[in-house]
Amino acid sequence: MADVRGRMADARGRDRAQLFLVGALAVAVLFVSLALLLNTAIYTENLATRNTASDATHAHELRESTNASVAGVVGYANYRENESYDTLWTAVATGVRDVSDGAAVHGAVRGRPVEVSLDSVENGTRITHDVEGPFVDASATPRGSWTVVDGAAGSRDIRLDVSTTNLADGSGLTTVSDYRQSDLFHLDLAESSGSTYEVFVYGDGADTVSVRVIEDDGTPDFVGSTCSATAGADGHVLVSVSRASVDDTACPALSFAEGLGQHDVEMQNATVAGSTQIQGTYELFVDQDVTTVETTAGPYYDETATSQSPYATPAVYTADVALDYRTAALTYDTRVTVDPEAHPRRYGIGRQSWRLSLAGGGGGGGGGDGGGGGNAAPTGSVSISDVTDEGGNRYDIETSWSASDTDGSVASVEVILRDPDGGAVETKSPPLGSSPVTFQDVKITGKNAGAPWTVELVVYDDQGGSTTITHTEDLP
Amino acid sequence: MRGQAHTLEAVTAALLLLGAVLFALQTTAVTPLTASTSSQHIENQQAAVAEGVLVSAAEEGTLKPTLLYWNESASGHWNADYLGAYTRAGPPTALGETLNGTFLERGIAFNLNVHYVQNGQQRAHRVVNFGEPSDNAVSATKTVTLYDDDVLRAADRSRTTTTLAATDQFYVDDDAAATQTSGVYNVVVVEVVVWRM
Repeated sequence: MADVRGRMADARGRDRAQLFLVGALAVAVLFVSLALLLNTAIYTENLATRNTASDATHAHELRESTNASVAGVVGYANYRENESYDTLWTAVATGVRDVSDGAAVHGAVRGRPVEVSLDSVENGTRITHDVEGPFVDASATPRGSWTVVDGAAGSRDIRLDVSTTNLADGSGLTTVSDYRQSDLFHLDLAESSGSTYEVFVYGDGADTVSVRVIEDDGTPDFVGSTCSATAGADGHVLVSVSRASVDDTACPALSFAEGLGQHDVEMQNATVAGSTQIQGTYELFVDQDVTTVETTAGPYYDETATSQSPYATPAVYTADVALDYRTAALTYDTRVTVDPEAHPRRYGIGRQSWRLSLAGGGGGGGGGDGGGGGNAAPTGSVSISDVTDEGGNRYDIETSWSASDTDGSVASVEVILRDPDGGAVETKSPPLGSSPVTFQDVKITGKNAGAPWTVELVVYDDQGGSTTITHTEDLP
Repeated sequence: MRGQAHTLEAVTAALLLLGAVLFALQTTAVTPLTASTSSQHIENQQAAVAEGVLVSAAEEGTLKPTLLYWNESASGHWNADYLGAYTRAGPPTALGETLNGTFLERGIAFNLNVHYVQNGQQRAHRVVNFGEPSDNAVSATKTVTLYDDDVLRAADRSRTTTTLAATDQFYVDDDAAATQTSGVYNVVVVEVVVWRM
């Protein structure tokens, strides 16, 4: 008989060793494949959360800041370099070039070239009434109902700073025909092919100004509801038709002003039979050449007559700039139409510091209005003693002043330098006896060169009285 | 003979197993997404928040007043802590309050740098300096244009009467080419760098 037991015994020994090794190999392969699975899962999650949008976010941010920068340049040109359309164009083009140069340096540091260039400028007109008074025109017998602009392609930034003094009252009116038959002031925006929007501005109780809009497209109807605001300490309420707000309250009824077609702007009932229905200041920009405005509408005062308004000056209505931005993964070419309305206002009526300067200026203009009875107001004198040219249209203006009080003593003085528009360029509060006072590096250029500048001395005495003395001189 | 073969196989099997375990443990990746203070998610989130703070500050008009919150006589920001910069919290302006509320209260440090152009080069000025950022810091930027007639702010945040054109003690110089007719003073980039403390 064959001996199979021995061979079987041998076979089992060899089988056990092989099982051991094979088992170890299998477990090893299992561990490695588990590690591979884990890594795959982690990598997938990593890939899924990679942020690839950063380049586009930078491009968008650059577009917004370009819009804001060029809007500021346009604002500066409209108020400081507005002698003619040529000077406006030069100012805007130079400004855009400066913005582009600055942005290019910042972009170059990160390897992302940026270029901003001026494509085109839309010429328009700025119509301003900046001397507090009724909203009448500049004719020999001022009319309360007149055309502000005839057939303008567009208008923007319409704002009225309405005083509560001499404001016609319209509190009891309710229906559309009540308003239209009344003598209340209304600003009309009449589309050539479309409706006419009448913005009624009237008083509604003590110190309150209300605004109501009526749309006339054949059948006159109210638009939205009444918007009201109470005047602050300065007695004025800012009605901003373009920003659809009355002082700080939003007024949805005024949002019709967006997207109007070609339209006329008219003022109706600013004075009725000689009595003032509304007074204050206002300003607006229209998309029409200044010579056309002055011949077909108005009439307007000459803009160089400093204490008379309304007047029309050349202005930039809007500007188009081309923005070019490149990164390794993105090429961004776009045209930005500058929207000055969308950014904080830095000049003109309703600018950010308007309320502060109005409150201060109003008091100063009133002159010696302080103190109780029996106090003699202080006296003083001021003059411009020296003007030094520092180059680059900048001048040092030295003013000599003196102040005295007959029945007390002088508490403090203020010396204010005003440009030909009446705005305060710089205010100094020198210590008593420190005459002369020098205004350093005052920029006199464009319309302001050769125009009358004013130095104003405000003297306060120790009993609450004050006096304002002015001296006007053509500079430089 | 067979005993030696058995032993050899046992040793080999053990080594194989041990090697496999060590290999598997070593190759498991601890990636940036692993939960820790340096997670990529947290970085993305902080970047988005920083950008949101800058954009909303620009909209509200609180960004520029902080840049102009400058003490001419001390050549530093008002009430600054060290070398004209703030080192303990944000500046006492509206933007500083926003930054404090958004970042400092959550244990996130931030630097506020202003990069300006001088002679065709970019220079940096620190407004808020919390030190050197960590390796996991992110930044957000906003470009702002300063104009000749922007006015400096006083210590109580009110407007003074000193325009940028009139002063030469401001930390940003008038860009050489930008002095004539355009009214542009300089183009600056405001950068907020945030990192977890």
